[in-house]
This record gives sequence, structure tokens and C-alpha cells, in this order.
Amino acid sequence: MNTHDEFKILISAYYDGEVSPAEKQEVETHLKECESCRKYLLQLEMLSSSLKKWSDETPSPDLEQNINRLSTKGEPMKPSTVRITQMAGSVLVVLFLAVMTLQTIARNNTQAKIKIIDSNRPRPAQIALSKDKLAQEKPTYSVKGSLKSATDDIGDQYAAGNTSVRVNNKVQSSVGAGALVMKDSASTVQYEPYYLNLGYKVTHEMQTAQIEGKTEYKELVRKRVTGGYQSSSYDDGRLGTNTPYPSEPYPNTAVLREETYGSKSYRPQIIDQRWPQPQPQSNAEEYDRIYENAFLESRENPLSTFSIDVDTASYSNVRRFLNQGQLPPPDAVRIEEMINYFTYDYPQPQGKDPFSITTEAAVCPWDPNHNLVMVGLQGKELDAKTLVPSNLVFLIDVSGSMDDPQKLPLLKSAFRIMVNQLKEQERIAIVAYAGNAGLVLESTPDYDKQRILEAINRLEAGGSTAGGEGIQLAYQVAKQNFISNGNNRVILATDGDFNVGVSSDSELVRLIEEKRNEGIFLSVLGFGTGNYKDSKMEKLADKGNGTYHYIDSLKEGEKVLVKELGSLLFTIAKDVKIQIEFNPNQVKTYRLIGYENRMMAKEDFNDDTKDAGELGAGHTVTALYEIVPANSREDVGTNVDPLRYQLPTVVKPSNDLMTVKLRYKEPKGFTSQLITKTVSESEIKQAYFYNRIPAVSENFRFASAVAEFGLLLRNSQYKGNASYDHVLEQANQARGNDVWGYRSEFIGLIERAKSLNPIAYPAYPVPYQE
Amino acid sequence: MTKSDHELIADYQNGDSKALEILFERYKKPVLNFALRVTGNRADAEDVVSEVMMILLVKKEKYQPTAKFSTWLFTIARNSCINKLRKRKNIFSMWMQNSENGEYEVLDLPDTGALPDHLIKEKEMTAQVKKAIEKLPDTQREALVLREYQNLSYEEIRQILNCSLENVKILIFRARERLRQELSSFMTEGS
Repeated sequence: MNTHDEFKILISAYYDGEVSPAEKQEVETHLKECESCRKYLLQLEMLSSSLKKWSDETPSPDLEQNINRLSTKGEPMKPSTVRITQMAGSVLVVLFLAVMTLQTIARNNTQAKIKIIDSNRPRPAQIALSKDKLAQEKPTYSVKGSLKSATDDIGDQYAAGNTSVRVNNKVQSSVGAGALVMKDSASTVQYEPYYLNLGYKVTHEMQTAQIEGKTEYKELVRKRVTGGYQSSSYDDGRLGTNTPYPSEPYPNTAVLREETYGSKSYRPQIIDQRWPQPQPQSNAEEYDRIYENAFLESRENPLSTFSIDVDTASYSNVRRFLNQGQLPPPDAVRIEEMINYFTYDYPQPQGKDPFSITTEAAVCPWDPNHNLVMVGLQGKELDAKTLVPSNLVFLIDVSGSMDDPQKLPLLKSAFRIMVNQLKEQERIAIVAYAGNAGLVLESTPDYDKQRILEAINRLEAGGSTAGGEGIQLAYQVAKQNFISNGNNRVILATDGDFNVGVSSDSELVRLIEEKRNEGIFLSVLGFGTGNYKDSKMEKLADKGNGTYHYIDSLKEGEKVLVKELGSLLFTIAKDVKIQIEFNPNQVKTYRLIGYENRMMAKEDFNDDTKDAGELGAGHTVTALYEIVPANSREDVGTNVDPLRYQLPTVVKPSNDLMTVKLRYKEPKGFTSQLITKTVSESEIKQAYFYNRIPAVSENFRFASAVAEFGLLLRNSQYKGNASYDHVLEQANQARGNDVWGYRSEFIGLIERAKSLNPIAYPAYPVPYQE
Repeated sequence: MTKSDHELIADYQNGDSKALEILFERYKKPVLNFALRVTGNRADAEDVVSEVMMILLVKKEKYQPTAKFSTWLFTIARNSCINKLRKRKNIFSMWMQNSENGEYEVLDLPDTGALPDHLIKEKEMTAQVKKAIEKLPDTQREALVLREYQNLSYEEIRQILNCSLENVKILIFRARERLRQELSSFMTEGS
């Protein structure tokens, strides 16, 4: 070691204040002379500050609970409830499988089934279905078990001691014997066998239900992801698609298949191929495959029927991808949700109808030979005078235990729906609590809906549960914004795991009763399973003069927060369906852009028993149709022989382009009302600007820009001449006064997408290639 | 008035269980974060906390007021961490380490959907720091964590690591040298 290095050691100690006075003197004199040593000292400071980037973390709820137990009762938690990691070794999925096997043996050797991956059926739908079914049976989803060793029940590759397990992407256990607990219906378990140096890992998605103590094995899907492990939790706000996806979407996914999963042998056959099937939907277990609406001939199919969709999840998801520097998978792009993410400036409804219909037609921006028709609904802004104003404080549990697809992401989706239903004169505040309670959103008036939605989007789980503290803060906020003749309410959403803060239940109840008498009520929404504290929450809501709901799925969330709470928090119309009749005189073919999963049969339109979307006060919904005019020479692709027993239909001459029919029910009604509106051919505008004066409304221009962007992201076969540059130009011109900057953000996203490789995904359909 | 650790542990040794509760409360986070940074693994770290608390509960009489309470507690925590690391080293092969420690942290990034760019960058930097610390040899890492994150004096670190003062000095110096290289991108970025 040379003297220079020795000096550095001294400086390091000097930096820590750990030198003798003599050394200190020495260092300080040296520093005056030597620049490189001064620099070195500076670097130590910089190093310290960069190390601070790894900030302190908080104990998980499990650990907190365990510590509590230790300090109050002087005993650790029982092994059965101790988190797995605290057990001797830890766990293998292998164990899990073996456990399942044992359990199935115990149950008279019942054969549990592994779902056969049917190439003809999109799998997510399947999962969603069974999940729904399970939900009806009200089971608790939990699988527990332990094994002493991991034998090769599955295949000799999985030896004990060489496998690690992640449940929902968290390492739950590493090696050896232990137990695996899965608390949810669609937990994802990954395990990594030691032969991983072959370069692949295995994912298990499983659904099990424990019903009345018996474990029933419902479904197991195995899938292999080659080329390394990459997976993250994904929430697009829909039930059944909240499954993780591999972020290397296409070519690297292969699928393991298995016919049955019996008590003994389980030898999956590996079907290894770069593309699992000719179909490009290897990603289908994560996103519902979107089969884009095709062009339909108006003579054959004059009616187009769909339910309105007020979701906006897809847009935020797309944004997430783009912000991460990645193009979204095509199936993650639902164009209608992107369009409806933005609010449009349609006229307020007149008279008795709860909403107005706006139609506009112009030449299609991405195909000059086609036309584009926009149908916009504007929900009535309710007359504030007749309504009781509300002051709502959402108190949201974001502790670590909420980090689960069935909890916080579901909660967020449900609240998004609810917020979209809120009327004006609503004030919303959001208090989140984990280790600490914090005001995420100060009391915000409802017209700033987007800001509320953004605040909801920002929530993420982590930390412990200071429920008591959160409640106090929520009450404080509610009190500050108290409306004396209004509805003042705290809405608590949690899995019920309070273990810090106001210490005892009775203290909490006292607080709630006290606040109730002051006029602030409490409603409780329960989420998740596992450590769910039903009784406590029921009690709280009961004392708080409020309702208590349990939300296990988005459907339930929608029901509770939209349909039932609607009387409290305002839906203006329910079961809103749109049916459009096209006039074959003017329209050769048409295509509805987006709304793929909202299509309805034409008979359903007049069938009042058929459920459809809800419209909240002040809400806007926009749909776009791309139309090929009747005089177009374009080949519509129908190659059918003329019918022999039917005369060709006679078309009544008319200049109408189409008739828009809309059915809705009053929020409490059972019979639907009908609104109709016709659009004439002459309304089609041939240019967007005449002498730089806009001929087409900003609404239309912006909505069509969003649609065009969606088509590009989907790499749709119908994208025509669409280009990012064109979208940019259009969106820029239609930015409007964009008070909250959402349209500007959209423009930023276009630029981002443009800079990413636009040919990252092949267009559908992809031919199978070796 | 807050009682000192010494008073609390004395109270507890005399049978006041409330004192233990306060000690737990006081030290659960420091111990957890120490273990997190040393083992690089949350599951292990939480185990360490439980073990430390358990020992505090069961073997309270082992504590001698000659040493600082925190030093004693960190010594237990350190031993527990060493056990974890040893266990892991025996069983895991290299790839396991990589996927467990490296990739995992990156994957653990929460949904960045609504996160602005600078936050994402921040998270990436955090991941980089974690990785660099994980790469340090065990004793260097322990010394560095105790110094940089727990702010302990060399004397305390010496007691915990059970080595000479000179050794502590060198361990910390070497750890810093390595980190300086690993995190060189941080070092040059402005001041």
C-alpha cells in the first residue's frame, strides 16, 4: 500500500470524525495542498448522499403483528400463521403442488384438473369466468400446506433446496421445507428450479378455493417463460385480466401443457416453440384479445348496437407503458377507453332527457375516402339546488397488506367508477394510511374529476397499517369541509387490518360515534381475503351510521359503488344502450371504432332486462364510426351468391346517413326511454378548416386524433394512412384550453410513441413463421 | 420524558414488560433496515427482526450494562444476518443470488403508471445503490451499513464486528472505494 492510499484511509476516517487530534491536523494541512484529496473528500460526501437513495423501509404488517404479539403476549405467532419466510427453510411451489397432490389424495383421490390450454379460447376469459363462479360460492381463496421435502412429483428436475418461490412477485420463500400460503384467487407463483441456467423459469397461475375447510383445486395453468424472468403485476381495472404479464410479450413465451393433474404423476409435456401457435396471442392470458370490429355492410347489417363504456383504464395503462419507454401490447389498447378518458365539451341536455346527443360527421382523418361520424353523449349536470351537496372523504388503506390484485388495484378501479358517477357539489378528499396517515388529495370539488382520478391512480401499497391515525385525519378533513345541510361522510376502504394508531377497538368505536353525532358518517368498504376483519368493519360502519359493503370483484364494486350507492352519489341514467341504423343509400359499410367488448345483439336494444353501462351526471361518452360512402368503389369484400328465395331488399330513398337511437332507464326506473336523432348525409364536412377557421368542432378533432393514435398503437389493419405526425398535428390543433393539462400530456405521449420503434409489434394477423 | 435505552432495559430486566414494548418500537425499524441492507432480502430481514426481538425477550439477562444497548442489539442482529447469509450461500448457486437480489429489486418497482419521469429515475438509482451494496463483501457491507445508515461510531462498529479499530477503518475505506467505482455515475453527476 502506498502512502497515497494510506492517506485516503485517513481521509475516510477523518470524514467520519474518527481521527486523533494529531491526525486531524495532518489531514487538514494536507487537504490544503492536495487537490485530489480534496476531491476525494467531496466524493465521500457525494457517496453518502447517493447511499441515502436507499431510504429506510418500514416493517410489513406481518412483522408488525409478530412484534406486537411478542411484546404483548411474550410469544411468537403460531407457525401456521407466521409468514412462510419465518419457517425453517421456505417453500417451493413444488411443495405446493405436492401438497395439492396430498390433499387431493385425501379427498378420495379426486382428480384435480389442470386446465387444458385451448388454443381456440382466449384464456383470460376462462379465468375470469371461473373466478366469477367462485365468487358466487363465496369461498375463501387460500391454500396452505407444508412438506418436508420437495420430491419429484412434478418431474425430477425440481429437487429440494434449489428452488425459490415468489408469490405475486414477492419472494415468499427460498429453499427447503416449509409452507406456502396463497391468499388469493389468482395469485401468481413463480418458481425457479436449479437448472435455470438453461435459461428459463416457470410460472404457475393457480386458482384454488377453500370451501368449508376443504381445499378444492380448481384450476392450474402452467406457463413457461423463456429468456429470463420478467413479470410484474398489472392492473387494467378489469376483473379477470389482473394477471401478471411477461414484459417480453411475444416470441419468448411458450406454453407448458398438461392434460390432467392426478394424484401421482405430473409430467408436463413441453411444447416448445418460438411462437406457440400460428395465432399471435401468446399474450392472451394477460390481455383479452381484442378482435377489432370489422367493416360491416349496411345492407346486410344495418343495425349496430352497443352499450356505453365509461371506463378509462386502458388509457392510463397505455400511458404507463409509454412512460416506461415501451409500446403497449396491442391488446392493452382499448380505443374507446382512450377516447373516453378525456372530457368533451358537448351541449347540456335540454328538457327532460338526462343527456344530450351530439353527432358530427366529417371526412375520416386517416382515410380521405372514408367518413367519420362521432356520436357524443353528455350527461346532465344536475341542478345543484335540488340536490344535497356532499362532502366525502375517502380513507384508503394503502398498507402492505393491500398490495394484492384483489385489494388496492380493485379498490382503485371501483373508486374510479364511483368518481365518474359523482355529481357536482361533491367535495372529495383522499386520506391514505399506511405507516403514517397522509392527505393524498385535499378536499377537491367534483368538477376537477380528473384530478381526483389522478390522485386515486397515484395510490400504491406499502408499509404498515395505521388505521386509527388515518381515521382521525379523515375526520379532521371532513370537519374542515363540513357542509351543514349536506351529506358529510368518510368512506373507509380497507382489508380491515388495523394494528397501529388508536389502539383499541372500543376507542375507535367511541371516536366514530362521537363524529356521527357531529354529523359525519362513516361507510365502510371491505376488500380482500385472508386477514379480513369482517366483524370489526361491520361494527364501525354500524356505529358510523353508514353502510358496509364487501367488494370482491369489480362487478361487485360497480354494484355497490355505482348502482346501490347511486341513490347517494348520483347516477343519472342506467343501462344506456346505443343502436344506430345505417342507411344503405348513403353508407356502404361502417365500422365502430373500439367498444369491442361492449357490443350487443340487436334484439338486446329493446330488451329492458339486458344490462348495459351507467352514465353519471356530467359524464361524456363518445363513439366514432368509420363509414365507407355508398358511392365508393371500394371492394367491400362480400363475395356471396345472390339469394335465390329472397328478393333484394328495397331501400327507401333517403338522404339520412343514419339514425341514432338511445335507450336508458331512470336511475330507479325499470322501463327504458328512447331518444332518437338522425344524421343527414349533407352534414358531412369535407375539410377540417376553411380558411384556417375550424369547420369541425374541437371535440371531433381531438376524439379522432385519440382514435387514430389508438389505431397506430394497435397497429390496426384499419389504420389506413394514420401516422404519428398526423396525430400530433391534429391533437395540437385541438388542444383547446386544456386547463388541467391532460391533452398536453397526450401530446407528450404521441411524441414518445413516435420515438419508440413503431414496428415493435407485427400487424395482425401474423403469419406463422418458423 | 423519554427514558434512555439503559433505563428501559433495566426496567424490563426488573419485570416491566411495557419497557420491552417501547424498546421493540424503538428498534424494530433500525434493525429491519440494517438487516435489509446486509442481507439484501426482505424475507430474511424480517426474520432477523423477529429473531432479535425473540432473543431480547427470552435472554434479557444476557445483556450487560457495560455495553451500549444498541450495540448489543446490533451484535445479535449481525449474527442473525450472518446465519442467513451463510445459509443462503450454502444452498443458492450464483444464479439464485442474481435473480434474488438483483433482478428482484428492479422488478419490485411498483406500478409506475402515474409516476413522472424523475420518480422513475429515482427508483432506478435506488436499485443501483442496492445492487452496489449487495456486491460488497459481507464484512465490508456490515461496516459500511453501520456507519453510513446507522451512524454508529467506529468504536461501536468494532464491538459489533468484534475486530480491531484499525480493521473497521480499513473495512469502511475499502467499501467506500468499491462503491465509488460502482456508483461512479452518481459521483460525476453535478455536485
